[in-house]
Amino acid sequence: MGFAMGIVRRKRAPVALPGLGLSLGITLTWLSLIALIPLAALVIRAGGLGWQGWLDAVSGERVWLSLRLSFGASLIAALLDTFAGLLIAWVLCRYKVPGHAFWDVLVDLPFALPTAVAGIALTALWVPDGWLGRLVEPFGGKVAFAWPGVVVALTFIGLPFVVRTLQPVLQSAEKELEEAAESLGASPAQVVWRVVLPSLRPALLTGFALAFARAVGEYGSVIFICGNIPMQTEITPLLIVSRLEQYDYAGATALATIMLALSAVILALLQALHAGRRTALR
Amino acid sequence: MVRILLTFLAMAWLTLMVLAPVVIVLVEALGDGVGAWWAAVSDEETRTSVALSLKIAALVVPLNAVFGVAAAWALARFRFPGRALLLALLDLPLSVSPVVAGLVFVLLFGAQGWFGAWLQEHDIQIIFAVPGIVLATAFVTLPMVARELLPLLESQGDDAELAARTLGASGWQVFWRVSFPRMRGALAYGVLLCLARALGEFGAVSVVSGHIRGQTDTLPLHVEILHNEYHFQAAFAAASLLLLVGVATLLLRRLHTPETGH
Amino acid sequence: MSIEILGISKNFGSFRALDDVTLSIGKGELLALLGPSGSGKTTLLRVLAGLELPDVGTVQEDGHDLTSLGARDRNVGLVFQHFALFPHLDVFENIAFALRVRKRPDAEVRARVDELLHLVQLGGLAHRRPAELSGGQRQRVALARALAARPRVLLLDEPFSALDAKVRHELRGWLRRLHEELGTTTVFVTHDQDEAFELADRVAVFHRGRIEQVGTPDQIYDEPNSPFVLDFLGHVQWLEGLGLATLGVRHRDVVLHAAGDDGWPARIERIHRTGPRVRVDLQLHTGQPLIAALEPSAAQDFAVGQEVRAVATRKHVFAT
Repeated sequence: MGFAMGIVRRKRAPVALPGLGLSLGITLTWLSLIALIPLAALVIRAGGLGWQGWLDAVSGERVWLSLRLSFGASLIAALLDTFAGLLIAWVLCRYKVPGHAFWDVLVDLPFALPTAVAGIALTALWVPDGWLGRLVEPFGGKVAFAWPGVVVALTFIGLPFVVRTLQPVLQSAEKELEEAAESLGASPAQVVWRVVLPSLRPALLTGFALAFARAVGEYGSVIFICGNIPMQTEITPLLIVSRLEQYDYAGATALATIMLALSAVILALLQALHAGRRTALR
Repeated sequence: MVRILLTFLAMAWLTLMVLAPVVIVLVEALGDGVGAWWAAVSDEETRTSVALSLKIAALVVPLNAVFGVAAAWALARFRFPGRALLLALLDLPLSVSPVVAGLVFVLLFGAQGWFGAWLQEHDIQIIFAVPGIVLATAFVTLPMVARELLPLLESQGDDAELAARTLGASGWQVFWRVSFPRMRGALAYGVLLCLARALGEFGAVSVVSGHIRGQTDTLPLHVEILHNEYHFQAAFAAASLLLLVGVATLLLRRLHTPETGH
Repeated sequence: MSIEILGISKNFGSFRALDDVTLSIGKGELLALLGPSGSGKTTLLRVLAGLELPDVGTVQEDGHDLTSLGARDRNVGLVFQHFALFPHLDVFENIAFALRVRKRPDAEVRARVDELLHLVQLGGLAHRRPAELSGGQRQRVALARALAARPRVLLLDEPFSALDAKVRHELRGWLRRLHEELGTTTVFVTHDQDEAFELADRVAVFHRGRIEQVGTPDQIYDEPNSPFVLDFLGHVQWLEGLGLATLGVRHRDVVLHAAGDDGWPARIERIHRTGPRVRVDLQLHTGQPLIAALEPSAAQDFAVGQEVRAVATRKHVFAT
């Protein structure tokens, strides 16, 4: 970093705004201490396991089932969020809805509600004699303490990511485009299919990726509703915690590297998506 | 017709999936009357957990606020090599699983961690103690203030600061007289978001806390304990406090940016 | 205070914003930096303000090297294109800023700001916020703010471009009078030749990071030293096929005769009124187009389709 700052100083420091050294110093110090060094420690620790050790720690049926549940449920939840989020964003942006402000605030609630609170509330709703569990029970549906409960919790926390990504795009979308399509003879369905949805695709993808990333790592809201049955309703973060509780640091570390790698990959994809959109606009 | 159908579906989804969980927290918390709610909230252990949560937030939030201002200033006002990477790294704590966020500190400071032996020798407890909770909370709330300030500083541009510079202001004068007054609103809101998250964080804190009653139980962990012990009404009463913080944050957001309503 | 700009170059990446620029600015002078956007004029202004460091070259003031002196220490007054008023401070505190950061006593600040408010004719608006002012009022606040610490040089970046046409004309005259009153050395950037010619004592014309020509408005107008300068001043017709030279004729330098042997034979294609003059589109017999901008009285005698002789009363010839 000293090298980089040297370049900056020679070029601009005497003339431009002051404070790069100080602000960048604070930023790098605190970011390193709190996040980068600890995360690096995780990676180094995993490296210490060796390839075979790492592979042993992440193989086995219990791990496989937890990964399948985590990824599968997150995928379903993110897809549900994408559809519901599109619907809600569309309605809130395009229609005059009674109590608009109320519904708009409600969208953000999953951001603001601590996950533990969401967890116990969703559990109380979806247990067999709960308000909503009662509705599905007669059909043999079991939500709480089964894998659909995981999906419910992950869908809850992911919704605002999709709506908040879509809203600005829907608002800035030129109504003229739709009007032009209409004047060229497109039916309402064709306008939506051929004009509106294609223009929303990058935002939908971003919202989906954000919801998915959040869902895969989620812990608090899931552990109450899933029932924590090993091999059945055990998500990967929960398996990490139970390995830690058994002082199986190596096993926990190996699993954590998978989660960390996934976060990094999704972050990189999102960056690429944004970069792509920016160049496309140019 | 399509319009009414779509509106109905959207409202139904929001009602069942988002509103219902809020309502049930209130119903369960107050179902046995305000007296029972108050008894649960004013219970000794609940009060201790609230105090601990506040104490941790009081440590973490100011540090992350200073970090947020510094990071936003550096990233919005300067172009330097590695800036794009730094921007990406800034988001990392928000996208990492909270469990991983807790785990990294166990690996560093836990009994089998890198510094575990040394810490034990010197009788310093970090994991399963307050310092560990502070670190984990700082990790998960790290970029929250910076994220609020960065777009604001970007959109403001640096003309006003350069003007102040040509008018003879020193670096700190530029900051205190021009930059800071203009970022006050966003800073306050970022601090509020950071505070709410610090009070409500569960996953990361759960990993490092060790759940020692009356010592390392933050309010969200206390909710879990009450729930696991089948004290449902008490659990929901404690949860209603966290719900209150969350809803207050949302409402203050409306005041902060009234145009979000469109 | 005379300023010498010596051999300044500045690159942004591979873009050469300033290319070996040398210019001297006399004490009390009102100098315009004129050129199209991207020609380097704003970069030079920022170098003068201390906001950009040149790659090569120096800026000297009465023999002292200022080149590496920061913006803070130069005591120049800079008026930004979009004014850059502090939105959280009222008019009074905006103007007082330079004095506040110098920790001047309150009474002195008050006296100086009142004086400036009077000078820029904004006495009644001292406690308005910038958002509550019109464009012209903001411009004047920006000017008063820049003048507060009695800068040695006043620098203005496209001072009128953010204003509408009417206000722009009023403020031009006002700025000229203000400069006469204060005598502060003033440099302003503009892409509008009328503005440069109306206000400035001298004009420096920029093209691709270089100064194409420096001189009084009369010199530049009457003796443009390059095709670029003549072309940039506008209303000019280029005629080619004259051997080794390029010939430029201003529209207003074309006179039409109904008969005779002078000038070029031409046919009138179109006549229309453009503001104070009448524009006549001609087709020379060589096939080239030519435009004449005539006084309305001189245009009366001509009609579309008529064969005429076009005489250039003044020609600008450049070797190619």
